[in-house]
Amino acid sequence: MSDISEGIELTEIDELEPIEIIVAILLTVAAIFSTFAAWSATLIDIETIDYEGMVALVNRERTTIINRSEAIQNKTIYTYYLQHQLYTDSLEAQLSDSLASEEELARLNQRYEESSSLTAQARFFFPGQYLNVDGSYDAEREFQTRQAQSAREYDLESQPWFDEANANRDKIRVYNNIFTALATALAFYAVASIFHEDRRVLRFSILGLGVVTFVGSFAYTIYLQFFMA
Amino acid sequence: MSEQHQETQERPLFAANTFLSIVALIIAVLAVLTSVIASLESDAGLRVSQFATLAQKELIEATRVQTVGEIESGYAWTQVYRLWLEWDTRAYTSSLYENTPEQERAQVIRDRLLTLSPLMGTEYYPDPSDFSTSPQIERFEADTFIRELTFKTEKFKNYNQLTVDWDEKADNYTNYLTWLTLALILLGFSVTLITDVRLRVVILFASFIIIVWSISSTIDNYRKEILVLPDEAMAHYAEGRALASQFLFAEATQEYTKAIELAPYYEDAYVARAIAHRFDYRDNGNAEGEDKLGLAIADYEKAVTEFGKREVDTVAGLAEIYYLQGRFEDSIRTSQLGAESGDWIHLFDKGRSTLASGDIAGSIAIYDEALNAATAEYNGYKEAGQQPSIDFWRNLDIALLELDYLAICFTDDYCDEAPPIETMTASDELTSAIIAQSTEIKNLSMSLELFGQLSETMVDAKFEGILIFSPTSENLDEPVDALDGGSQTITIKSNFEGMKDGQVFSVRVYLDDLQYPTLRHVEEWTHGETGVFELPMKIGEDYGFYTIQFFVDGQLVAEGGFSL
Repeated sequence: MSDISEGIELTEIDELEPIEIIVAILLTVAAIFSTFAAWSATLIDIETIDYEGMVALVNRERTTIINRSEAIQNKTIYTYYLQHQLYTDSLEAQLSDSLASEEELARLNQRYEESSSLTAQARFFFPGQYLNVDGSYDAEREFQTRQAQSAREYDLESQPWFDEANANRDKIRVYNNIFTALATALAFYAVASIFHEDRRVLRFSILGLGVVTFVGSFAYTIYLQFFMA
Repeated sequence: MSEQHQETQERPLFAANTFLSIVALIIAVLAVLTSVIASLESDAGLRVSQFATLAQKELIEATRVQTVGEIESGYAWTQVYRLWLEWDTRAYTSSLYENTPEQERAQVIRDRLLTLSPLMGTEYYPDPSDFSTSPQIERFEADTFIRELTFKTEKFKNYNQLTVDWDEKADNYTNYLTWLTLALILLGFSVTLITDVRLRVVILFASFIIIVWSISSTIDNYRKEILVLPDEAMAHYAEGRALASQFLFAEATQEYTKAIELAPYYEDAYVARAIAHRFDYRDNGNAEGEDKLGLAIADYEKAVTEFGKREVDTVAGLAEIYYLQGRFEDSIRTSQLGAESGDWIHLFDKGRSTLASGDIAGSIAIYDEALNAATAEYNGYKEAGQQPSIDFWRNLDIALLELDYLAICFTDDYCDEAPPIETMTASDELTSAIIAQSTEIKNLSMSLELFGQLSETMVDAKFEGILIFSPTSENLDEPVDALDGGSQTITIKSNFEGMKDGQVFSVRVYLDDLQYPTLRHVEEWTHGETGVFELPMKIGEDYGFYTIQFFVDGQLVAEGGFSL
């Protein structure tokens, strides 16, 4: 019994042609390489990078809204301060050179006191460092300063993340094309073994196409994997 | 030669059985096709995630643009300009009383305020000394944020649509891949497990049908066009919206046209252009050879019929223009189309057009349905612990206003905002029906506001008109119907009878088409059964026609008005 089976095995091995062995080897190599390429593609991350970009975007937009509204709120208080200050200055000038009656002077003094107190009160509610030399309020400088501070605390740069995610999408597209090429190579190998041994030119031509497709895919994958940033 | 030929003929093509070899060949080709479709599916999926991210990005940025824009415009208008007006008024009143130091102080502060916001600069406020002008806040808002907000919103909508379209493509590819996999399995079975020839043929036939259908569907799916709005088209659209926000409707239509030329499938641009044509007609009428309402109808019809748009404003806009042209059948049909979406404003539109067509009985039934639907929506809000939206009250006001315009067309022969008089059949019965429906809506609006439900109380009270007395008129005892501008306190008087103490008496005032909320008055009646009711009312510089309505227990009892 064992002799018979050994005899059969020997007969089958004897019947295998070199080309069939080559095809079998090529199919195995292509299959292993396809698995490697697929594994490489799964390592490419998009979701996490998009998420990081979205976090940075929300940070930027949120801080822009907060910092702009803070700056405008401060400028609003400055606007009240400015009115009272101008009014106080004007009253002061009138008081210093007034020929008014005592009753009128008392009335002006009362208004002066009131106005200068309101000026001082308003001054307490907005930051002084954004006042310009001419007394105007630089809300844009305040906003930029606040935004610079926000940039120290949060990631506000979303575009590099989105660019990276898009670059990874392109990489996956390339891997998709490699898969298709590898599938084509595998198909060529399989088809080559369908034809009769006497059709050597046809068989070797198809096999050659498969090898070229495979080598191209292999080279490009290696380039992507090791040489492309 | 013949030997050679014979030898060639005898050389077999395939290594194994021809049938098996052909099937193996098909399987190999299918494997390649499957990998191509998988690649297309993956690419579509990548686009979905990319467009979804871009849509989110535009939406978040649009929120920031609007928020910051509103804050900046709010500061410019309600802080800087309001304060400027305050100091300008002080300077003016000081000059009247020859208080020169105070006048100079006010002028210094007033002039300094001009430097605090671009709104107060010459670009938006060319001549502050001209009392009849004010800063061009609409243009300022358009420049500050409306243009950019619209652009970003449009980009969001475009990316969102692309996400949906590519997602559909990806789903289709997955579907075809599944079918092709099934075909591969069947082919595999046919050459391995199945030996019965007839069954093999059946399975092969089924596989071929699946393969042919999947491949042709894949080609269709691949070739299916996905429409992308070019940035330039959206920029023109945004410019149009910015111009329309400044009431420059003719200029806005030109921008929308440019957007449509760049993207003939730009649905929103057709609707926006229809609205712009409509308001351009309202403000400027038709020049020689123009038909702005006709152009508006063409755009609306394209949006509704070709693009299938069913937004409330689009359908109601088209129905309104049909109505204004006296095409009542078309208007009723369009409103019915809108009503099927469940929005009650279309029922009011349908009732209005039915009434104008002369079908009084039909219109009463439709109006009843509309009033019930509005009440139900109001109750829905209340049951959910919410307040009705601004649109809820606005839609009631619009329904009311259109009936008022219709009534005025018959009573005062002023038909600019009503259908052409020759398209209607005037009768006392029709005029009475219009006024009766108008009163119903007024009662509903006030009842819901005061009591949260339509008032069912029988009100016997009578007010004999509403008379206006002004302290600046030549004869103080004579009522007036027109007043000069300037702040003053007028007196509203009306003889009444049949009132009961404890009833809820309310007064609602409209300035032109809009409610004037600062002049609202509500009280529990304490003035007895008969007498003369007097109500002081402060008026300022808001010019236009004031309509005053008296309500008792939420029901309209008198209406009058004056112009300023």
